[in-house]
Amino acid sequence: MTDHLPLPPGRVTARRISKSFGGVPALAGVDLEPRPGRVLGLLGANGSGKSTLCRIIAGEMAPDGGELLLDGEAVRFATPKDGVRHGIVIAHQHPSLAPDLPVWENLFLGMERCGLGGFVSRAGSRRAAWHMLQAVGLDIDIDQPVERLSAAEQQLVEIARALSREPRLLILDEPTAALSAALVERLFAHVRALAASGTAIIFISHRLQEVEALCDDLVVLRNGHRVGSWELDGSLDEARVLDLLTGDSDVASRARDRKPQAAREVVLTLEGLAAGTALRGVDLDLHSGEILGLAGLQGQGQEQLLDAVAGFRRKDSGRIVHRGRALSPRRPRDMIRRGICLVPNDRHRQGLFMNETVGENLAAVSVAMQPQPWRLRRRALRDFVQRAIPRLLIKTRGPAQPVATLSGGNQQKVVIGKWLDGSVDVLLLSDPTKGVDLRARREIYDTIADLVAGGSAALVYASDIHELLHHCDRILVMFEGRIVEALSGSAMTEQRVIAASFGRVA
Amino acid sequence: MTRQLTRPLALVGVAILLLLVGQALLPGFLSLGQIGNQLKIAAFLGLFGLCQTIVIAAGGQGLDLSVGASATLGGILGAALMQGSNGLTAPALLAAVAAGGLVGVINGIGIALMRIPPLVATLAIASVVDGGTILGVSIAHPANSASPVLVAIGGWASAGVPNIVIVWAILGALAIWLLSASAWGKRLTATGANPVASLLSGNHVTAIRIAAYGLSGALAAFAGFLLTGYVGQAFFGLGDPYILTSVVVAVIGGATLAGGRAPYAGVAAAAIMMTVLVSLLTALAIGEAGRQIIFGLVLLGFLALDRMMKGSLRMAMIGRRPNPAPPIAAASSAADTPRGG
Repeated sequence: MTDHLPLPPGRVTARRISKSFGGVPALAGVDLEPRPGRVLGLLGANGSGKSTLCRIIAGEMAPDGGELLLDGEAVRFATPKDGVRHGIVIAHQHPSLAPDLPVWENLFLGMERCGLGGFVSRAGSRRAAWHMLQAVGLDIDIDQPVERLSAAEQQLVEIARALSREPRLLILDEPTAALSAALVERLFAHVRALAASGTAIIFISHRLQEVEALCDDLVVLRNGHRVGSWELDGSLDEARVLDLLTGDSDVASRARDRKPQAAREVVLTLEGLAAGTALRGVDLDLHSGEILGLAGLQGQGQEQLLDAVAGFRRKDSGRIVHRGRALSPRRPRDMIRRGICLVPNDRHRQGLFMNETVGENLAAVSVAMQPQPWRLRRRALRDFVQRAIPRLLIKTRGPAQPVATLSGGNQQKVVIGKWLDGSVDVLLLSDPTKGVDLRARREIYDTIADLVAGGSAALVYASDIHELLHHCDRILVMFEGRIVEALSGSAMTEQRVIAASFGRVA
Repeated sequence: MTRQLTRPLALVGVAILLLLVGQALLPGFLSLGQIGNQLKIAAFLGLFGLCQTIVIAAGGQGLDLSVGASATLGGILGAALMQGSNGLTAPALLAAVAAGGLVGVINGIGIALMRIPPLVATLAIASVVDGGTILGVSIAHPANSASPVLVAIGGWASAGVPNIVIVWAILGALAIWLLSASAWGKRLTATGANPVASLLSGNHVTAIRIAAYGLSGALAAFAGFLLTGYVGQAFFGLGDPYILTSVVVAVIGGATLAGGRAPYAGVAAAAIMMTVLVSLLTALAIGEAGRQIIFGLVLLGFLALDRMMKGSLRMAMIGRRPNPAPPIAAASSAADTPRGG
């Protein structure tokens, strides 16, 4: 089907791979032996090192230590293309496609089929493209640009592209996240056929039942360590897996002094809130004085939930009720007027004006919301900025320092601080401590606690479970766009949160 | 503050240098009358440059290529309504400015709501407006001469200072206040610098962008109306010479096409500098071809200078970046490492 020769089945082995990012170890000497003809399931929570390991095996990243063996011989990949040349192909969770090129060109991106004189052979490529897509069950117009495809279709194009390279080792990084059950079945049939022909496959998924259905071997990673591996014979010992995923630290320290919620009034109610494919119907009550945590694996709709409540994403259905009033925000301004404020997920792109100073950034909301657009309330703004810097413990030379020169934690404090001039009733925070050091993390949560002590409420999504266990009054766990578990009091344990994150509710 | 003033002062310095060179080569180039004339020409260029400054600051590759069409519309509609009479000049002015504003708002709706790229949207609207103006003139055969009052404002001087320069100075001062000192100006530059962060901070990004284009259209029509007084009558193609030159002075004046900056003092200084440069080249009898080559080289030179200055600024900022939290792991492992020997 393709121009290059099919590779004989061979073994790719990762030996004692280690890798750290900025001094933080992501992988600490991990072995992995995907065997030809078998499907290896790789399980682990966010940040356990799955994706890093796979990217190193595929040659997209160089390890700090350890080696890759190809049929027993050490190899070193300088570029992903070297990996492909040796038959190691990865299909990413977020398709790496060129959005405005047609489907068929995307399928051959980087390995164009060339005819005489080095020209791309169009007819041959298109015919091959059609066959490739048929194989994964995708019946679409191959001339349309990829950006018009749905998320599921894009994922299948990514997978079809990987399959077409006739890999000896195929890595599927959460291939099913965007797929419907029927498409998953079809994909699995294809993967099994590929394995039967002698290909080794690494399969990453957060859905335990899929791992159970597809995989022959299992490896569990936690915090960059391989904590368990065994052969599966058609059934998966769920309790054992969850145990390994969470570790044995069953006593999570709780810093927050939790008060009973019963007497408190409800500030915000969501009823069946749905938006796009990521948010499929969420109900929740947020009480005055409460810090409510949103947990779950990454990409289960938490960001979309916060965006929708903030008016940054249009809701498709459901109700947002704030202090007894149903709201249909058209833009964030509508919600900010009512004191509903979002600290967005992407600090640099969504939260800050990177070319501006600390002072200008802190004043941005005040300037945007002042009633008349003419005269600036200069004195009031200066006073606010002078108060905000010490209140949030922002380490800066002063309001005139460019915000780009602050550390990540101090930048995040600026993003939070810009809300403090007005009255905040509901503070929405999307992973507020991403890339923030421990000390700044504590200071940020202190600020949030101060704020809710005054009668407002906070809804926090964080990718770090411990952070939520530590600082929240209650935790809701999201899975595939819905809330699957509500935990409070003594039920708030890491085990319960992680089990629910994988769709398993006790 | 000092950085904000560097560029305008440098540009005015270049303009004075050019005047001195002109005086050395062609005695009489530096006469008062000559300077007044140049300022008059610069005033029009500066008004059109203001249009571009505003829409460029609004971001999203902002640009208004319909300023020529709006100016022509303003001039022809104004002349048609005033019918050479002083009494009708003010209402005609209002109608002209309103018409230009309407053209601008349509641009803004196309760009901010329908997400058409500004280059395409304003070019298309310019074509429609130009066509409509021709059609209107061919049907109505309206009056086309300026009233005596308008001729006085556009062409005459008070106490040696051309009236049009006074108008420009007042409007320019207002523009500098609006763009860099008012809340609306902050909202505009915030929107240009980072539309998502601006939206999330509470700005009505769509309304701000539509207003920016509306303002640009209104100002262009106002400039076209004044141009009618300067020339004495309105005619088709009145505003066309300013379409690209206005972009050039905005860029030389310090507007960055990525948006987020509205340095009108620099743009006004650039308008003066470019006017002096062109008149010097003309006086030296350098032909159209030579003028165009020099024009292009000056534009490229300023853009290159801009890049260099920004590069050095960025370097300076990185140099001053405070160290992030010390890498604890690295430090402790270094301490733990037993020394050899």
